[in-house]
Amino acid sequence: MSQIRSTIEEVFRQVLLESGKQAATHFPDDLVLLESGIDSLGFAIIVTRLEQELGYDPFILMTEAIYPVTFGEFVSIYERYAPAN
Amino acid sequence: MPQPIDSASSLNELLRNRPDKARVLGTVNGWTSAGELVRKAEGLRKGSFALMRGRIVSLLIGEPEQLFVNLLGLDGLAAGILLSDARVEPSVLRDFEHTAAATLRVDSDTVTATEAPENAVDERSATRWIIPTSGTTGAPKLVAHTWASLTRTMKAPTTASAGLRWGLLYDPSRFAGLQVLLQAMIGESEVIVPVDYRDLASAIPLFASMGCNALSATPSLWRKLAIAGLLDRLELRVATLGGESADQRILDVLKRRFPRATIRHIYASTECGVGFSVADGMAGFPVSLFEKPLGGLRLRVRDDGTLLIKLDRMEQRFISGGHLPQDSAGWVDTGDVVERRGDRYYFLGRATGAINVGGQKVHPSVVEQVILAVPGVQAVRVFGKTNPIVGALVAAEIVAEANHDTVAVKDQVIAACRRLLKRHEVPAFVQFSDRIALSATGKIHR
Repeated sequence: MSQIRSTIEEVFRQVLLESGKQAATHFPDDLVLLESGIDSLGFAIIVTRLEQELGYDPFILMTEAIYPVTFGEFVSIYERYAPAN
Repeated sequence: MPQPIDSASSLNELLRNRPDKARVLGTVNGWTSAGELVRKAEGLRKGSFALMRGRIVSLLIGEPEQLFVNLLGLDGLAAGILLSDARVEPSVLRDFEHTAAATLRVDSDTVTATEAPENAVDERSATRWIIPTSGTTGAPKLVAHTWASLTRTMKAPTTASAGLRWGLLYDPSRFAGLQVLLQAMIGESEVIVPVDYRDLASAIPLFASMGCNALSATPSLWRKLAIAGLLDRLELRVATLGGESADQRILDVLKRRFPRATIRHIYASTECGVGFSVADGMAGFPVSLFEKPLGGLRLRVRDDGTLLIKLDRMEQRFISGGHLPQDSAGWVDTGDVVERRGDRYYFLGRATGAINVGGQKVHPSVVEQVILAVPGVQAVRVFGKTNPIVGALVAAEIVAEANHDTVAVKDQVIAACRRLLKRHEVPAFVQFSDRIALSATGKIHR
């Protein structure tokens, strides 16, 4: 598992726990984000925590007009916009 | 430019002008025709609604077909229709009914007397539409609209509008929801009304199965539809955004998903009605809008950046609990702050500093009070930070007292906020600094 993916999974678990939800042990690629127990507010909080953890917000960097629907798409956006060094 | 609607002066007239069998309303039970709705409303007028002539009636929004029939039954008969969501709290409903002097209440097919005192019957005035505002500050206020003020910017039917099937994702008792319903009727379009507009997982499949091709929603709701993968279920010719300022990303997402659709963002408020709309696919609005009157409306930006609106005819009014924030020359303070960049104006937020988190308003002072009560906090500034998913999140900048560990203070601040505030009010960012900048007037910068 990539470092980025494991950081993302960890932040998902934190936010799930904070909202009183059972934290999933496994996040498959085809998991629909809004069916993971996280609502759009939780999802927004995840993006801000990841910016603090990883140092970038791909949604600000990216020029394509898309929103990720699945966990796999979410991770791949972060992987694509990771700083080169 | 939209043509003014001079031909029809009521909802009844609009539906009577439609062919008897014209499909008007789609629900989980299928389609209902104009003729069926008109006949059911006639039945009510001859029966239990007869005593409502000239009175102000409190109407609870219930099941969609019943809502249409009730509206048609009351329109032109009652002196006023006070609209409330069926889930409104009983105490709020009683306050509304007192304020509006609504003596009778219609809930689905039941008519009861309210606790509002008996008052004069007014059989001569046209029906007023009484709508709660979203209550940017404090309790919701009631605004009474006339048919003209409610439908001022609506477009007369065209071949294109007659082919539209609107999905309703707004509360029909509020201004935006009523706009969708009435625009659909004026445009000779059809409208699909879900059992519960909040339940997207049921509403969107219903829209898809009934051929919905036009949808109006807030930018927050559009983002939610995108992330939930629900946009893929729809084929839209018209997508409108309103209620919050639309950012470039969501406009681009919609353009990419519906390349041939008309994508329009609307500036409106319950108090002023629809101000203007922009369909060029870009966030903000062009300076050129200021150069000419827009269907009876003019715009101006005050030196402090506040957007002002002036209507040539102002028929709507607050029924109590305030008046329109209007100066002696008739300019209404919208409370929205804009900034000019090049040949466009962009929305910066509310003058009050209110933060819109996914459609829910947060007042910074409420959050600041909670944080100030935490030991070790000397000063705090709460403000909105732009976020791609929910528009904005709450952020807090804190000055800690000397000899306090900022890590411990931060933990206590978060714990206090989680305990005392709603989830969307809890700061997602907490940072520490040495001092909080104040503006020239001594206010905290938002």
